[in-house]
Amino acid sequence: MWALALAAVLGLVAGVLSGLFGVGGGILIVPLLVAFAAYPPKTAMATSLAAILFTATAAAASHAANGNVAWKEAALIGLPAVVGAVAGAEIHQRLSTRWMVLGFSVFLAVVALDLLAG
Amino acid sequence: MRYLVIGLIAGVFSALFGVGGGIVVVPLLILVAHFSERPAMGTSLAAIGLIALVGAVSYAFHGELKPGAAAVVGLPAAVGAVLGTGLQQRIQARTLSLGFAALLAGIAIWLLV
Repeated sequence: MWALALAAVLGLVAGVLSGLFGVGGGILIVPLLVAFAAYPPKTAMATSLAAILFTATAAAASHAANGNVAWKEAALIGLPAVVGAVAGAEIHQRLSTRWMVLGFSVFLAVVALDLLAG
Repeated sequence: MRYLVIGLIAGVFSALFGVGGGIVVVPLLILVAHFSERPAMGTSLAAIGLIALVGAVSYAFHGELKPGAAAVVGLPAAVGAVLGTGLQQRIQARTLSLGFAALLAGIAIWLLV
């Protein structure tokens, strides 16, 4: 019961972040489902992706109503992303997760600094 | 061309971390494709909708998707997303940038610790 309530609150928070910042919210949903709702990692990832489907659709529709969606570019990004996802699944089998997390953190830090610098 | 590269990178991240890839797409659209904040965020959401659809379907084929669990997270998330979008329209682009920078920095630190 607590896990359910927690998952719902988590969904709401991730949704607000999604609408605010244009992300799906998976970056929060996956680790928090594992840490606090005791989901196995793969179930957490699958649940996250299915939940993102809801957030992304709802948020994209409201952004589109405000004229903030460039549809052609979205398709140009989304379609190769599907190919990238298949490649990512392969890489996942071969590369140490520790290095990927490290690289990802460095990328985020660099972007954060760049945005701060304006 | 650069959109294709952004998409490929986002897809790889999506598969590796079970995320939609927006955390990568938004910064890259701003830095590489020179989008301003709001269109970058709206366009990112449309792209990751597609990524998440394919990802969720492929997990479902492996029997790892629990529709009940996904709905418990996803339905409140959809409500939150509409609230968040409404809020975003009232916030200045610069404030939005700073907030996003704080989110990224927070996640980077969290992952490293």
